[in-house]
Amino acid sequence: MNFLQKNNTSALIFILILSSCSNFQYKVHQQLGRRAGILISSDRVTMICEDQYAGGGDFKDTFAFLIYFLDEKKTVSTAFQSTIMNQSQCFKKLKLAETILKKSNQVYMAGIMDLNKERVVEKNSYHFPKFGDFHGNGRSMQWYVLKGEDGTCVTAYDGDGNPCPWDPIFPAETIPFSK
Amino acid sequence: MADKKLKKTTTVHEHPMHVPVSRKNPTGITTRHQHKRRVYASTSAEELKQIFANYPKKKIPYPSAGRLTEFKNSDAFDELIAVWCDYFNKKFPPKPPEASLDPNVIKALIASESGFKINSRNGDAHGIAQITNSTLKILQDPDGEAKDFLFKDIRQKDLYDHEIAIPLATRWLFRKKATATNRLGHAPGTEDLILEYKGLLNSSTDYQKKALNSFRTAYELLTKK
Repeated sequence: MNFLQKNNTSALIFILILSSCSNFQYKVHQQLGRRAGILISSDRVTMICEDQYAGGGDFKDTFAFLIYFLDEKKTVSTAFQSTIMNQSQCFKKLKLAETILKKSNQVYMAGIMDLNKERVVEKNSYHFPKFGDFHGNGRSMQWYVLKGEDGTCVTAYDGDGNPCPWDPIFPAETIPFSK
Repeated sequence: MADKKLKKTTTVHEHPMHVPVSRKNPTGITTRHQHKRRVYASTSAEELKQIFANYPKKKIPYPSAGRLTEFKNSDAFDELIAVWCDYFNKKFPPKPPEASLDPNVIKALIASESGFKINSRNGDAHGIAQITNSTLKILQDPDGEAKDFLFKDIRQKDLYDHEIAIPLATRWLFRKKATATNRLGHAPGTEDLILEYKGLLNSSTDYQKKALNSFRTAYELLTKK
């Protein structure tokens, strides 16, 4: 009996290790100064278009695109597009980004961020359906690009008509699963 | 004898004018008699380039170089920033004089808006300073809030020319300094000024905190001793 119980425990541990290995979650892909690129499971990412006027901003019909992502310590960093958009522009971007998340198990995100900045516990918390609610960590990313496994890409700046990601500080060849 | 500055004026003919409804004006409309109106000069794209070319560049404060290495070309616009910051500090002298605008504020603002990309476009925001169409309109409107220094004949496509976008953004920042002073009742600090520029002075959104954080980091890197 004892032998069986021991074997069951070992099998359970083995299955847990196996599942944590196969279930990719969060990895720093590149860090050059404050240029940061991360690989992250889609279920650890959530995003919104935040109404700035409703939040006390001066101008009507201004929306900010924000991406919240759950890191390896289960704290939440925020990626944000620097420039504010109108509602339709923001929701168009949000829809495209959500499509990328739906189609990919993992996504690549890049921007300007200090990954060594000490985490703080923010008052705000954010909901991830698969994991629950977690507090912000005070870290933020000036967001540049989000790319899915099939090569679909959405960027903070439309740029000059070159394909996404067009920004030279995140060249396509350094980005995983580029088409 | 002190120099008398000639102010160009024009005559405005008698016209109806909306006023608050009162006993004296129950209809809310009164007649404004013929009067003089000051005509402010306006500056074209060509003139902006001439001003920059002829501006004495040696003894003016420059933004810090070599600090924002994560951005490509981050130091390529330092001379433009220095010239236009100095130009508008002289055009709109602050009280007290030590409250002059620091060119590092403009550099950090550009870092946080476009990351120094001259071709960046984002909805209605264009170019290195991400100036919007509505701001461009105000900056050229003789009856608008920025009429004390106007630009003329600047088109949307010109906002992708950093030699035009940087003076426009700098001028707009000076305008925002004035509006923030009115709203706060005192001269704004650097971060209040940036929030006013972004239209978020009274905001409590998540974006306000993150966008400010991004500016703050760039500004701290630029001003670190």
